[in-house]
This record gives sequence, C-alpha cells and structure tokens, in this order.
Amino acid sequence: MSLLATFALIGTAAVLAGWSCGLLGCLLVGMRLPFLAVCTAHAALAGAVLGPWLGLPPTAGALAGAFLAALALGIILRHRDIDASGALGVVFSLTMALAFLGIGLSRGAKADALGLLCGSLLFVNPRQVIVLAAITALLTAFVVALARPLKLLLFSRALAATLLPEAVLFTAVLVLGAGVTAFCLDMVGGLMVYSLICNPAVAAFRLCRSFRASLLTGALLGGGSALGGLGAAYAWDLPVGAAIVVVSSLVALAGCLGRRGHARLMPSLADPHDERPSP
Amino acid sequence: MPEPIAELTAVEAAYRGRRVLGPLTLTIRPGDVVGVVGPNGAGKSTLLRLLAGLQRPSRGQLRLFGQSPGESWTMPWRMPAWRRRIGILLQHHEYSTEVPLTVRDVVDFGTLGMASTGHRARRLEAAWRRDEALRHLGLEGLADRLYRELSGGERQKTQMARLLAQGAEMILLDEPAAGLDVEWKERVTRLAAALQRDHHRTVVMVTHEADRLPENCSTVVLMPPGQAPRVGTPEALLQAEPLSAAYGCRVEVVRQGRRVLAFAPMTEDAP
Repeated sequence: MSLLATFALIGTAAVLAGWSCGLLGCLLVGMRLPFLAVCTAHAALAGAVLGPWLGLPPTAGALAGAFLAALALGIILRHRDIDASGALGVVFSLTMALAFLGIGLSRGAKADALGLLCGSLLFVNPRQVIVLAAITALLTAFVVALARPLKLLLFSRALAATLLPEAVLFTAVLVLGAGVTAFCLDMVGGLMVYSLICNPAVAAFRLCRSFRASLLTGALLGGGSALGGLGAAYAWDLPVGAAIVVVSSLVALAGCLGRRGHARLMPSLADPHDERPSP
Repeated sequence: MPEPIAELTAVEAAYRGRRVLGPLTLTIRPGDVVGVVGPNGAGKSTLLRLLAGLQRPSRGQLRLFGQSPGESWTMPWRMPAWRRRIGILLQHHEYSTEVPLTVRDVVDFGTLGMASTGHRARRLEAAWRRDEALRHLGLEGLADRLYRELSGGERQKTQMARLLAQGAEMILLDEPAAGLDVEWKERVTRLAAALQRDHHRTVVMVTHEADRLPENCSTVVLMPPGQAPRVGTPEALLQAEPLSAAYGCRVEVVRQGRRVLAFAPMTEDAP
C-alpha cells in the first residue's frame, strides 16, 4: 500500500471514529449519561483481553463485553430509584478491574492488550475501516430515522415513557453505543474514546440552537477533532490518541467560550437561568 | 352517566415490600378535577404514576379507559392506544435543559406518534394542533425561544401547551406550581382550572399545598403518610381538622367559597 493510501485509510478511520463518537456523544450527553461510554469502553476492553481465554478473537470479545455491559446498564438504569452515576461508577470499576486482571493474567507480550488502552490508529487496516463505516452508517441512519423520538428521550426519559416505548429506544441507544465504542477501541483506545464522545457533544449543545444542528455539529466536531488530533500528532511527532484528546478538549472549551461570546454579543439570547430550575 | 376514565378498586402500591399507597378506591369521570393533597412522602406521585399506567399496583384493580393496563407492563415495546389519551406534566427536574430545544419543539412532543405516520394530512393536523396549543396559551411570541431560556412559569405554560397539543383527555399535573413565585403559582393554578373549564379536560393535580388546588376542584384525595387515603369533596376535606390529621401538625385554613386561599401551621404562640 502506498504512503498516500495509508494516510487516506488512517484519515478515513479517524473521521469515521470521530463522527460516530460525536453523534453517539450527543445522545449520551443529552441523557446526562456520558460516563456510560466509559463503562462500555472498559467492558469492551475487558472483553477483548478476556475473550481469548474463552476462545474468542479479541474483537468478538470486545463486542460481547460491550453489549453485555450495555444490556446490564439498561436493566439497572430502568429503575428510577437507582442513582445513575453511582451505578455507572460500580460497573466502571468492575469492568476496569476485569480488564487489568485479564492483562495481568495474559501470557507472553502484553503489548497488544495494553495497545487497546491507548489505541493504534496508525495501524488500522481496510477491514476495520469497512466495519467502522458500516456501524457509522447504521448509527447515522438510526439517528436520522428516529430523530423526533430521540429528541423526546433526551429531553425527558420519564416523559418519553408515557408517549413511546422508551425502554426499547433506550436499550437500542445503549446497544448501538456499545457497538460504536467496541469498534473504536482498537483505533482510539479505551482510555480516550470517552473524550471523543463527550467533548464534541458538549461543544455542540453549547453552540447550537436546534436539536438537528447540534447532532450535525457534534458529529462534525468529532470527525474534525480526530482528524485535527491526527494532523497535530503528525506535525509535532506526538502520540496520536493523546493529541486527539487534547484537540477535542480544546473544541469543547471553544464551544463554551463561543457561547459566552455569543451571549455577550446578543444579550437577548443569553440564558437568564443557565441550567438552574428557575423560579 | 359517562363512562369512567379511571377506576381504582382497593388499589395498593408497594415499594420493596412496604406499602406506600392505599388501599384507595376512586372513580374519575370525564370533566372531574381531582386534587391529590398530602405531605411529602405520602405517595402522591405514586398515585399519579398508577393513573398514567406507568406503575403496576401491588394489590387491587386498576382500569384506565375501561381497560386493564397490564399489557403495557408485560410488553413494554407496545404502546397501547389509551396511553395517548393521558397527558402528564412532570416535576421540573425531570426535564433536561442540556439539549437545545425550542418551545415549539417541546409543544410538538404532544403530537408525537400522530405526525410520524408519514401521511401529509396527519402531519398538517399535527402542526395545526401544535400551533393552536401555542396560540391558546399565548406562547406564539416564545415559540422559537429555547426552553432552557424560559422562566420556571413559562416552562410550565409550555408543558401545558404540550398537553393541549396531545389532545389528552386526562391530564395529570405533578406539583405544577412547585418552585414558582407567588404570581406564577396563581397563574399556573388558573391555567389548571382553565384546562377543565375551557378545554373540557379531566384534570388530576398533585400538590402538597392545599391552597394550590383550582376553584373548580370537584374531588379531593387527602393522603396522610402510611394511612389509607380519604376521598371526598373539597368542602369536607379541605378543613383544618382533616388537613391537620394528614399533615401531622395543627393547620389553619383560610377559605373563600370552595377555594382554599391559604393554609399554614399554627404555632403555640399564634393569636
């Protein structure tokens, strides 16, 4: 493969991972569950590391781990009296412990397992990009087709339960989210996928004044952050994963500052209550 | 006599084996305005969830629009038709302000399921119902404002417009005046009264403040914590004695006609 083709493949993988994580992030941040992505990412990591012990290839193990965690979280979070952040914390610590246990128990070189923590975007292969493109297309089609029900789900899960099959829709978001995080794990890494999910969505919700615009902005900022991070890593010889995290964090910061500047220029649009339940 | 919208026969609700509501027998007919009054933790919101078909009673029989809502508990992927006939206004903390949604978006949620059929006529009808609801509540000027930019009172008004757009026959209001200033509390109370008077909806309002019940309230469910609720008329139950028993302290009630204007605990040194 020529150098140009290799760069094109890596760039495509970065944009697809950023786009899908950015779009997924809009759903999870909107439901105030961004930490859920960390849980499924670490469950995928645990699955990838422990999979070979059960005779599964690492990718199948990652998918199984992520789906199991998503379904378990779906069942746990259906109970209104369970605090979501506490439950996510418990699942996160368990999945992380399982992942490190698997790394510790694995025989031979541990580089492959540790590589899943930080990702290996530069070693992406065409098959991975095709699979990632398929799941990105699936997620995008899901969001476009169910934009209105998803909008309601993000606004209020309790209200959504009175108007649509909320449990089914919520579980579908979790399962799709698990698929996205499992497939991005190889490229972005278990530790850094969270930044691509959380940061573009935070910026998009701050900058946009409509739901559709914020979904598109989240996806574009995700793709842009991944590509920008890749470019920065190439230009200054930095670790790719860390460069992507820094760029996406700067995007989130710019989004927050941009909204403040916007509010100062147009005071009538400033939020007089700014996230407080106002009197 | 019109068919009941909701029938509860010796209904009880339990949480982890502990009874939190009931036994309650209550019939709600079209046009009723039911006030559910009681202190915090009395099971008022549980009753609202039962009436919305979101919770299964641990004992007794519950029928909504003549049907048992059992199917919706066992098959959560199915949306029974009666669900759309019930509208609910939740407490303000149940809504996210993170997502940028306009007032029009929120009112539009009321037509969800109606406009998604793909038929142009249905979509037009949904848009008309949304615009009518905005107009009825004087929200046309705010239609493009973000929900998170609204005051608490304006948010409640937007939610009521959503209920009108939904065409819900029974409207459940969970503490609609909570957290609002005095002026908005009164405005929200009048809006709740208008839902029945002007829009002919059946209204069930949950509140821990008896002075928030609208003047056209026809039935009161008084809920003392840990005891069976009492069902009666406002004249019978919104009195100092039953309210004192329910709230566990002596309260004084100031009334004007059917409406309770104020109620407050009496202290030892009160005149």
